[in-house]
Formats: sequence, C-alpha cells, structure tokens
Amino acid sequence: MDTKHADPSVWGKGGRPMSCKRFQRLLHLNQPGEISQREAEELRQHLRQCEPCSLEYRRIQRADGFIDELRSFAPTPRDPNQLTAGILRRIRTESAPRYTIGLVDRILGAFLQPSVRFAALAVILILVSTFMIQLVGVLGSVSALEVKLASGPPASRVAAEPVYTAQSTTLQKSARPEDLRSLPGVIPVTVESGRFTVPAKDVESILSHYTIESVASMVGASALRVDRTTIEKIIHELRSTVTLTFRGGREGA
Amino acid sequence: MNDVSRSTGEPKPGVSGAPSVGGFDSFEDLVQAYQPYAYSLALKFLCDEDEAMDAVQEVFVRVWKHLDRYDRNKKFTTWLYTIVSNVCVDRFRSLSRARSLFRSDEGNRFLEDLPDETDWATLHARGQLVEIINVLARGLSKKQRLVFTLRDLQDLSVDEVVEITGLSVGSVKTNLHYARAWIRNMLIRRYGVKGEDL
Repeated sequence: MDTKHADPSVWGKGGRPMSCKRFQRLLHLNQPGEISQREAEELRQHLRQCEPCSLEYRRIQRADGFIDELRSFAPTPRDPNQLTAGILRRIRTESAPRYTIGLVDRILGAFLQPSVRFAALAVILILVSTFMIQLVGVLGSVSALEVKLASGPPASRVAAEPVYTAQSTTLQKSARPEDLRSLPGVIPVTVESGRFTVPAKDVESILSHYTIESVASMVGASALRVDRTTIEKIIHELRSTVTLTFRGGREGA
Repeated sequence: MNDVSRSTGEPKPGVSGAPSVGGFDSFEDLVQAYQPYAYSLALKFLCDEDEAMDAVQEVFVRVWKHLDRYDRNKKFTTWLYTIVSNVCVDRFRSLSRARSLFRSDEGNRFLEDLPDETDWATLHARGQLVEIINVLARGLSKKQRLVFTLRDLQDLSVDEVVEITGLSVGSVKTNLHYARAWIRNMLIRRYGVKGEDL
C-alpha cells in the first residue's frame, strides 16, 4: 500500500486513494504507443506500492487474454468468390450509363413525393376545367350560328325586302305636298311624289281587308279634298303602274 | 485495371480511367486481396454476417467510385478502413435501432448472454466469437465501439485510428479508456472472478 495515502481524507471510493484515479486511466491505456515512457514508469512505481491497483492490473491482464483471442480472430466470408462477384455486379450496375432509364425513373420517382402528386393533380384539374369551359363556348357559338342560319338572311339584306309601288299623276297634281305625307295608323303605306309604296308581305292583307271604297280613306280623300271621280282615276292609275321593287336593293318585275 | 470480372464470366464494366492500386492488374484482384480486411472489420463492428456482407459490397463500390481520391502516399488499408468505418457507422444506426442496441448500465443483464465456455477453439468452432463481441460491445457508444474495434480487435495503431475516425488523439484515448474499462469489467466479472487465482 502506498504510504502516501495513509491520510483517510485523500481516500476515494472502493477504499482506494483518490490519486489512484489517475492511474486507473493509465491502467486502461497500457498498450504500446498509448502513454508516454514517463507515465509508464510512474504506473509501474504505483503498482509496486498500491495493492488494489496491482490486483486490478492483474485482472485486466487476465481480461486482455480474452481480448487477445478476439483480436486474433480473423473472420472470412463464407463464400469469398460469391462476395467478389456480388461486388463486381454491383459496380457494373451502378457504373452503367442510365441517362434514359434514370431520367424516366427520376420523373416517375418524383411523383412518389406527396407535394409533387398534389401539384400534378392540381394541374390536371386546371387543364380539364379549361377544356370544359372552352368546349361549352364552342358549342354555344355553333348553336348561335345554327339559329342565325335557320332564321334567314343577315340584317344587311333586310333593306332589300320586296315592296310594291304604284304611281298616280292625278294624285300628285291634286294633292298638296303637305297632304302627301305617309298615312300612319291605316296601313303601312307611304306616299312620296305621288308614288305609293306598300311592303309585298302586306299586299295580301290589304286586298283581303280593303275595298276600292275604303281606299279613299286609305289615301286620306278628305284630306286631299277630291271627289269620287278623281279618286277612281287615281286608283286606276295606281293599278296600271304597280311595280314590284326591292327597297334598298335591285329592282325587279 | 482492365478486367474486373475475370472469374465471374460477366461482361467487363467500363473501368477505363480507374487508377491502379498496389500494382494489381484488375480491380477484381484488388477486391480479392482486400475484402478479407474489410469483412473482418465490418463483421467485428456490426456483429451480423449478412449486414457485414452488404457493407463490404457498399465499401468496394465506394472504393471504385472514389479511387482517384486515394492518396498514394498513405497505406491503402487505412483509406479502406476509413470507408468501412463510415459505411458501418451508417448501417449501425439502423441496425442498433432494430436490435435496440442502446447503451445501458445494466451490465449484469449482458453477462448472462456470455457463454460459460472459455475454450477459444471450441467457441471459434461454434461460431460464437462474433456473438461474444456483440455482447461485450453492446453497452458501448458508437464512437467507443468503433475505436475499440479498430484498436483492440483489428490491432491498428492509435495514429491509424486517429486518421480513420477523424477524432483527436485525446478523444481516441478517452473513448478507448471507457470502452476497455467497460469490456474488461464485464470479462472480469464473468470469467475472472470465477477462476480467481490472482
């Protein structure tokens, strides 16, 4: 026992002097190259004097006998050639050019990520929605076109609608200009420069509902202040000069 | 460095440009020469044959890929062991989670797993040495396990351990101290006391 540790105040756990703590560390680093020559000499001195440390040292040497056995244990793979072949195969696989496969794999692999999956789903929904909206618009346009085609000529050709016109020189001479304005409220007839103009579609209606006698009121006989003979003359002239024309368009028979 | 598949009969992979190491004619020769070193360290660290085989494959793939980074002025085994250590530490994380190889102070629980037999020839024949290492190292941290394996089971110098692990000399010695204290204590309690004739 180291006489330096006689004082109980410097004794540590396990009945061993506290200064032994330093040597405990050296005891476990007792292999070549782990402690300096000076530390090794100090340890040897201590072991000669400290019985607990000396006993532990011998136990450590005994334990190291087991560790030496484990150190000399040199395990080898069960089948070295198979291991070598596996290594070379793996190198070959990882060294092979994989631009095409790798690119496809990376793209497909990206869809394994939830964020990419949701983004792709959102893009698909947007594309489908846009397509549907455009499809509805196109169908609407086609429908409107069909309606237009079915409803007749365009508005620009309405001006060329057929009308019947008739001329009466007697009417022109006997009537004052201010009396020869159109006769609203009777029939859609306009009178201009002694010429009567009646839409063709209204002729049948006029012929069905009006007699010669009613024409006097039609043309405003009272306003014109003409007698019956003059009216009959006017009617005769109108009959003889009836012409089919196209308002705003070409004239025809 | 032209034929890496001489004995496998498989097509030659593109190996042009890979530098030669140690005068080997092919990468296959290099693998055959060094795979025992890699396997030994991997098995002693991981204590699982299948894991060690996979680790060695991964190691040599990395060697193949990064052979140009090898400093020819240094020992090839030191560079190889560095790669083995990195691969094994990575694998050890998942392996330790699977096996619950967490550090525990309940050394007594581990002692029961050590065999009664102390005849090493018998233990070797039974394939129990790996299991003994596994039990002894089960209570070590990852760093302690690595330093102990490199220094005491692979018999590498402190300087090599420093270079392989990237730890400082002081850190290597501290980890070595705690690892040895733990393992020696277990061995003494399991076998030393029983046959105490000191």
